[in-house]
Amino acid sequence: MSYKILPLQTNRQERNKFQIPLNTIYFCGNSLGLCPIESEKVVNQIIQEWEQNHIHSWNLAIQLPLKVGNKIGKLIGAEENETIIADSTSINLFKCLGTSIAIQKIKNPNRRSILLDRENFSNDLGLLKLLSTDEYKVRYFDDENQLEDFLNDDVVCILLSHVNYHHGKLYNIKKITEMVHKVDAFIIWDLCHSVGSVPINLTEVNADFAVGCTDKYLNSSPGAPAFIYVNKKHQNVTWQPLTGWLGHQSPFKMSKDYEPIVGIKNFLVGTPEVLPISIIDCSVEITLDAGMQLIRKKSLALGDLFIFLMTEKCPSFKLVTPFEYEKRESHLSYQHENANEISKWMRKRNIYSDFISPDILIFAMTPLYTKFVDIWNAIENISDIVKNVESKNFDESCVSLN
Amino acid sequence: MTREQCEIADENDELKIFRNKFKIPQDTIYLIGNSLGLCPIESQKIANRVIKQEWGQNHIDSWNTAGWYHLPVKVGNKIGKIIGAEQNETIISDSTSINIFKCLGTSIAIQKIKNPDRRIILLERENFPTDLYIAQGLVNLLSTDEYKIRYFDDDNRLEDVLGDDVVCILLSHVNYRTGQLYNMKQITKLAHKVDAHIIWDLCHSVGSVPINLTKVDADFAVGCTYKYLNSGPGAPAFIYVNKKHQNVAWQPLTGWFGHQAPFKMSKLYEPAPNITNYLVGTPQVLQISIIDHSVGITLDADMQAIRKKSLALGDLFIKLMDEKCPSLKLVTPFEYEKRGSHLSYQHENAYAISNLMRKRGVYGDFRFPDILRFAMTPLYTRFVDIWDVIGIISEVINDAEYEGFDGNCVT
Repeated sequence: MSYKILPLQTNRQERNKFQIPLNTIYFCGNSLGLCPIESEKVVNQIIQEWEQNHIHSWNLAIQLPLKVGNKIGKLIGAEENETIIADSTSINLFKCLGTSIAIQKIKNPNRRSILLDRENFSNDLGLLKLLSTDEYKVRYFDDENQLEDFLNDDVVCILLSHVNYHHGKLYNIKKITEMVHKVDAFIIWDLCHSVGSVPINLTEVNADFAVGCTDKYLNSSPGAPAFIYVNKKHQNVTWQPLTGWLGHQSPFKMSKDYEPIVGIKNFLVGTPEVLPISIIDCSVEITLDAGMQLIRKKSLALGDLFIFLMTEKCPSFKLVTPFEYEKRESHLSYQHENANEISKWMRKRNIYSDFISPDILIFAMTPLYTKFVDIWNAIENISDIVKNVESKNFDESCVSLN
Repeated sequence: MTREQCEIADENDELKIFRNKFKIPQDTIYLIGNSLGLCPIESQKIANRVIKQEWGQNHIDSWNTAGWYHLPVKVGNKIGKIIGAEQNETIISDSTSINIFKCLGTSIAIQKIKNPDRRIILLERENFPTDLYIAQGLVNLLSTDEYKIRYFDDDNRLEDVLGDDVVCILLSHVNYRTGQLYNMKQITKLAHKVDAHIIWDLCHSVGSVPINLTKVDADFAVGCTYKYLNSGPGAPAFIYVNKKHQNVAWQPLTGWFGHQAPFKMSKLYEPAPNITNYLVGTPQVLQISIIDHSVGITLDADMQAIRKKSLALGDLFIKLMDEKCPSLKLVTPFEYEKRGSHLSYQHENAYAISNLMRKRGVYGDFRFPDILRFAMTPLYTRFVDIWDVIGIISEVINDAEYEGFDGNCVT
């Protein structure tokens, strides 16, 4: 396998927009993105707004969710007013699933199967238990190859992660959405691990629903609110299941009966979390400035380098993620029988990757702040650690990371 | 009563030092803490620490080293002390609306086992609308099961509407419009007599009125942290679940953080066997860190002292309004056992009055069509503030009657 260094016209200034932890090589941006330097300033502005203008700061709560939602909409190829910031990914999946079920109750009332990606084990079952009288059937699948067999005219909808978290495989949004639509089912795309890492065009594929996190590749702080996308054609067909006052047509009129507001705002529930939403606002700008095409190009280049060096220097690591570009995004999963131990030694040397029991290490290539030389340095250290672990020789001396 | 007497009352106020912990907006008398509490001075410092140090420098390590993982329970338990909960019955998560959904869903699931034929959800018609809307949405979702909502007005006798067809009753401890305080002990008893659950909405009472959920054996409760708990616009809410109802049935919003071991990433859902099951998504670390501090202020002040001052401020307000603004009619009951921490008044020109008040730096709250609300917030409101406010209102009333309703005024 040969490696060619491709000339990249990346804007290296992107890294300067982040607070880079000292003496650290960070491959966990797929779990928690690093902190944009502007975050402190924007949060202080909101706190000052609260301090000085008190009750008037509620105006931000009214404006921000849609304004910031539309910014994320640009990253995922949505049209205006199809994306909004609200709640968490899990809650938004509940809304999408509930809405799918409600719409299909009108369109295809006999359907009872819900197809779930085993990755999303927890984000669905509560709703289906609640609807136990309706007797929906859940079918789990592990791989897109199973899909063709499972997709029939009993399927209400399918919930699928664009990137499989365990092995980092990137699914083909266009192909799969087409397959689902062929049987008149809906698809709910979970974009948590792909938004901000790969270009996405939901309008082009005519996706039905989507959700995603903002605290991973969108670097918006731990637990920052998530987003939800609802294709215009599915807005205002039925109620979504979480009918809180901010989804009402006139929340401050305090009328006694729920009347859904027309449009994506219907997917709001309770009071928006203004502080973290202001961080999302500034973080998403960084990604928009860099542009998804460039981010994607660098992500693949970083990945190529990582894979090349690992193959050379740490051959006992087995790459689980597919190599082909169309099946790979920013995170690389590797398997090693001593993965847990290796990851602990890596952490002692301030190299951060994610360990998934029993034997997987995940390395996220985060183009906005990861350098090619970081990859080099990290793998030097990893190969050193692996040698020690494999020869049971525990050497605690650290290699300089600069 | 004179202004000097008010100043003396402030001098002798055992809570007077607490005002210094808040950023008091200039040239403003703020009686709207029941809608958004003022900002504790430490908030900015805490936010900066979480952002620069915990997130910026220590990133994912902070789940352990900064205690992020335990924040929802730690801060939940602090609120638990304020509401008389036992340990590990209260947790910070999501919004009040979402937490109401969890409580209703869990109550329904438990009653499906205990009393499977029951179909009625009992709601107060004049409750804060989100409570009604969430219940309406849930009933709509469960259309196959044919749940129904029964509304009651507070002049109904509860015994008449609480039958053995009732799954649960959702009720606000302090009514947002009228400021009336309900008798938690008595009403919980009535609900339990027919084996129904009660879900208490504490949004307007937590931090303003002493509460003891354990003593009354309440089933569920929810509440905001951005009103009397001063935790900032949109700060996450809390939910309380009586230990006896934990692990009986799944709560309906099953997310990864409600899993027994969220970071284990196992492929099977296993609900956590305790209050953490009521978490759904990743905790909002930044805002919860601020709640941590703000709730600490209330704990330091002590609910008995807060209640005492709240009633004293209210007494003064009512007395002076009687004297100087007799055209404003008190809607909130006067009796202490029926009075929360905000006073509602009715006036046909309420809208104009509220706008003119705001031009003079006085913040009360307008509720359509003719209600004005004034929050007594003992942690930062002084007796002289009450004196000054009523002076201004009495001047403004005359102008309001003269000017009439101006639809272009900003509320």
